Amino acid sequence: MALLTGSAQEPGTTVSDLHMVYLRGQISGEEGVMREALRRLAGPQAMDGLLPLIYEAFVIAVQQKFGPAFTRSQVIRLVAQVRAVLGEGAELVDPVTAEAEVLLALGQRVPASADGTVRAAAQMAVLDVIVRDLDLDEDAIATLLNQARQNTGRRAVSAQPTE
Amino acid sequence: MPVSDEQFATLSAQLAGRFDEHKRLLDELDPIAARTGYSALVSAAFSIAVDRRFAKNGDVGRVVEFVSDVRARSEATAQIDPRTAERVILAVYTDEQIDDIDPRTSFETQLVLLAALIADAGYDTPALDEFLAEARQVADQWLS
Repeated sequence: MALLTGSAQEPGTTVSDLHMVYLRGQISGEEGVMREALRRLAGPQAMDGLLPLIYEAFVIAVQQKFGPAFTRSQVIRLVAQVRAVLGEGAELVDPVTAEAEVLLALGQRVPASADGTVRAAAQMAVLDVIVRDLDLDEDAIATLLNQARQNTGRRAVSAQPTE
Repeated sequence: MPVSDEQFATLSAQLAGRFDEHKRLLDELDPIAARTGYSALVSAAFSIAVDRRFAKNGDVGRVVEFVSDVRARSEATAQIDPRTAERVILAVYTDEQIDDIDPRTSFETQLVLLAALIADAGYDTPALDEFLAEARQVADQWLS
């Protein structure tokens, strides 16, 4: 476990329109859209922008859901809800990692998993459930994703080494 | 060696919510004997309590929900590991294997879950006595 406060992101990582299409398809449960976006995402760095985009969308969604006041109990129950929704696939989300990710998104300093894949899986699953819970329509999802894209860009700029 | 009266009284005090008495009795337990007798009594009580609550309708979703509910009750209960808690419950009535879980962790997790199961069951004194007597009988069989 390492103490992390956000997503690890390489300087210069950019989010493409295809990343946006993929995540929108994922959130909306449109498998065809996701598959088509994945097919068109080619090249060694093609996926680099996706994880930071998922992370930023996750942070926005978590903050929208909980606001400034929240309890640990609410976080525990949310993660349990996420795993219940997944049913047999509940094993895909590590509950301790998922709770830590939510708490980190809410500004708490807690130990996070050092495994980026496990973290991303937790973020994606929680994001999915929160979007459904908040009952966001297409416009609201588009706003969330655009904001996430902007935040990804800002984070990438602030991660650039200064001369 | 069967469960001793002291070990039985210790768990009775805890599950009846007499926490000061429980702490005093726990401090007085012979630590060597407690590793077998008291552990067996807790495990037997836990197995019976889990069986009563989950055996008839114990899909994983209900177990996940129960564990999260227990962990959401206090800062102390939030400390138990959710996966471990789910697995020790499932091990009672499914083929879930828990050999890889440290015995102390398993015991402490069972104790927290047992207290919650009993609190949720809302037993009155005769029902709690009947439950504990059954647990003692099972533990004694295990120890014989």
